[in-house]
This record gives sequence, structure tokens and C-alpha cells, in this order.
Amino acid sequence: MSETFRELRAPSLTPVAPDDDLRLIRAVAQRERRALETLYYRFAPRLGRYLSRLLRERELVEEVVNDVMLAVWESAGRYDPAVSRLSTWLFGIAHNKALKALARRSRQPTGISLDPFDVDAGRFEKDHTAPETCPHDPERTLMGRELGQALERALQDLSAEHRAVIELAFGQDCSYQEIATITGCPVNTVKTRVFHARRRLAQLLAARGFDRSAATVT
Amino acid sequence: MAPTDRNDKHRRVWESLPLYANGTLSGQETAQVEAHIASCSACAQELARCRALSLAMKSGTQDVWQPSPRHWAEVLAAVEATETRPGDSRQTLIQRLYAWLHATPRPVRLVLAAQAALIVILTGAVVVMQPPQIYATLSRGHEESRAPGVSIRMVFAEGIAEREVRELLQSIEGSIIQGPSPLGAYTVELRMADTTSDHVDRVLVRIRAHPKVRLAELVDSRSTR
Repeated sequence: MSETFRELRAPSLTPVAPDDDLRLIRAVAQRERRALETLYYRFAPRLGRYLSRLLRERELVEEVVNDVMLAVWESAGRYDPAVSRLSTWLFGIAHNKALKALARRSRQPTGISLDPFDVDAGRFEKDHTAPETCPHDPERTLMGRELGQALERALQDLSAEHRAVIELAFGQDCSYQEIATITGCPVNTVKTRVFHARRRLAQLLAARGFDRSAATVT
Repeated sequence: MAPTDRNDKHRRVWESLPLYANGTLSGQETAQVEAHIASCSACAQELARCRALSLAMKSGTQDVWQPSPRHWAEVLAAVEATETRPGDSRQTLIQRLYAWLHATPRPVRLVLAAQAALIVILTGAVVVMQPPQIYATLSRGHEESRAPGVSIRMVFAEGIAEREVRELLQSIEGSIIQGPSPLGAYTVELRMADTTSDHVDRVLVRIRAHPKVRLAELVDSRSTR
């Protein structure tokens, strides 16, 4: 199998920062504010989606995005393209900042279990949006829309750890190696976590009447 | 294939399905997954669920946070605040040097480090090594003089001509018996009959009055006895 074909099939296996991203982060390291703004608009949408899934509170997401941008401004010179792609590096910062934010919130006396590592964690925030009030998204298939509604509710019942790996694997198209880099865990730990998260998610979706025949590994 | 092998292969493929769905498997892994799901309906169904999950995750009904000019203004304000903290100017310079260093490609960094090390080594060698004496000295090449008389340590000014040194030495009846030292000092022995301290002092005054003598100090005098 040719090297070119291998690279096309698995671009994430080789941590190569696209030239444009590399020029951008180096400009940020040189204290160019315009470069930081470009980086913000380029990556903040994906970071925002990841953090929204992880944190489930708009105000907290905004606070963490702030922290991420400041961290990038301070440490842009330490980014090493030989270690990971720029997006992986940014997600790693976002993941750490998010967990710290969750830990800070969990110390607040709200009466709700906010332990980010509690496997059967209670809701951090309930999303009571009724299906009929959701904005119509013409890009989604009927199956996708139905699944989406059930999915959002099911994700709320996962721990932050499980939500993180589900979002990274299915929402951000990360490889297990990238997820390991982002979350600071060994690859085997990531595989185990994804395994349990998928199984738990399947059970939750089945409980909501969606996709009863969840596959299991015997 | 033994049942355990079959189960292991099934488990490995099942673990890989999310990555097959998002296109991050290697070529070899992709081929293994495709070969397995062709004959495994459970994994084929799971793959379909993974794809649907991926589609739903990327769409989402949740109100997802989006960047905005308002929020960017807040970020920029926070950045400006970090830049204008008092007492940070020196730290910022250090941070800039650090950032510049890390922005430099690794091979270039290694070359710069090797060059810096070479400069340090060569500088040390120059400091430690004595410069070779290229020119013949004015001394007679003697060791420390044992001849009777008064000896004076002298340092001449830069640019003094050989003729001027010769004339001075002749005027004080002196001759260089040693030098120059690494600091440019010569030892001059005075061949005078009168070695009383008064006479020696007068000679010293005359020597020190010369515009091109920077230093003249008695080294040994029998007149002090």
C-alpha cells in the first residue's frame, strides 16, 4: 500500500500541522493580535461545540473559551508541530480548562452532584427544549433528527469523561491517539473509555425508545 | 479460526468502528475492518449506528455556543490586560525570547546551540593560551638580574619609539635586563656609581617626568641600606 494512500486514509496518524496553521500559531507567538483573532474565528466554533457538550452551560463555555485564548496567547511559542496538530493542541488546552471549570463548579454548594468523573452523574443542566420547539435543520435526515433529540438527552446522563470521548470520536473525527493526547490518557485508556461510553449511550438511547438492538461485544 | 481468536478479532474491529466511520484508520486497519464487516452483520449494524451517531453529533439540537465580535472583544481586552501588568516588561522580553526560540525549527536550534558552544570554547582557549612572542624583546634575555645595581620596573606608553626608549635609557645609564612581561613591564638596571637613596630618587623623578613613561617603580635598591 503506497505511503500516499496511507496518509490519505489516516491523516491523523502523522502529527503534521498544516502550513497555514503553523504560520498562524507562530504569528501568535510573535504577539500579533490579528493572528490571534484569526485563530479565534478559525477554531472557536469547533472548540465551542466541544465545550458545549462537555460543560452544558453557555456562560461556562464562554469563560473557558476565554481561558483557552489567553493560554494560547501565553504559550503559543511552546507549540511543537512534531508532537501534534494545532487543533489537537488546542483541544487539549480546552479539555484541561473545562475539567478545571467543572471542578470549580462542583465545589459550589448547589445540592447537585457535579462530579465530572461520576459515571452516573446527575444533570449539570437540564435541556428542557421540547422537540417541537427545536429549530429546523434541513441538513439532517429524519433519522438523524430523531436520533439527535434522543441523543442530547442521553448525553446529559453520561459523565463528563464519557461525553468528552464521544464528542471527540464522533463529533470531532479524532483518532484514538489524538483523543489520548487531548485528554492526557494512554491510548488503551481511551479505547476502554470509548467502549464503555458507547455501551452506556446505547443503553440510554434504548431506554428512550431509540435503537433497541444495541450491539454488544461478547 | 479458534473461537477466542474470532472473538478477539471481532472486539478489535468493534473498537475500530468509530475510527473507520470518521476516516482516521490506517490503510491496513481499514482493510481489516472492511474484510470483517463483510461477513459480520453485528459489526455492520454497529457501523451504521456509528455513522448515524456521528451525523447527529455534528448536527445537534442543542444551542451550541458560537464565537462573536462581542466575545472576541472580551478576549482581546483580557489579552491587553495581561500585556500591561506592571513589572511584566522584563518578563515579556524573556517570554518573547523563549517564544522565538521555540518558534525556531529544531534543526536550526541545534545548529545555533552548536555554534554557541564553539564560540564559548574558542573564547576560553584564547583567554587561557599565551600569545606567542613574535618580536624580539629589548632585554638581554637574562633571568632575574643578579648583577649589582638598582633595578626599576618600567612601563612605557603606547606608541613610544625605539629611539625614545634608547635615549631615555642612555640618559639614566640604564639597560633593560628583563621584559616585556605580559603586562608590558620592563626591568631596567641602572649602572650608576652613586646608589644613594637621594640619587636614586632623583633618577626616578627624571624617569617619571618623561611623557612616555607610564610607570616607574623601584624593584631593588642597595642605596636604602
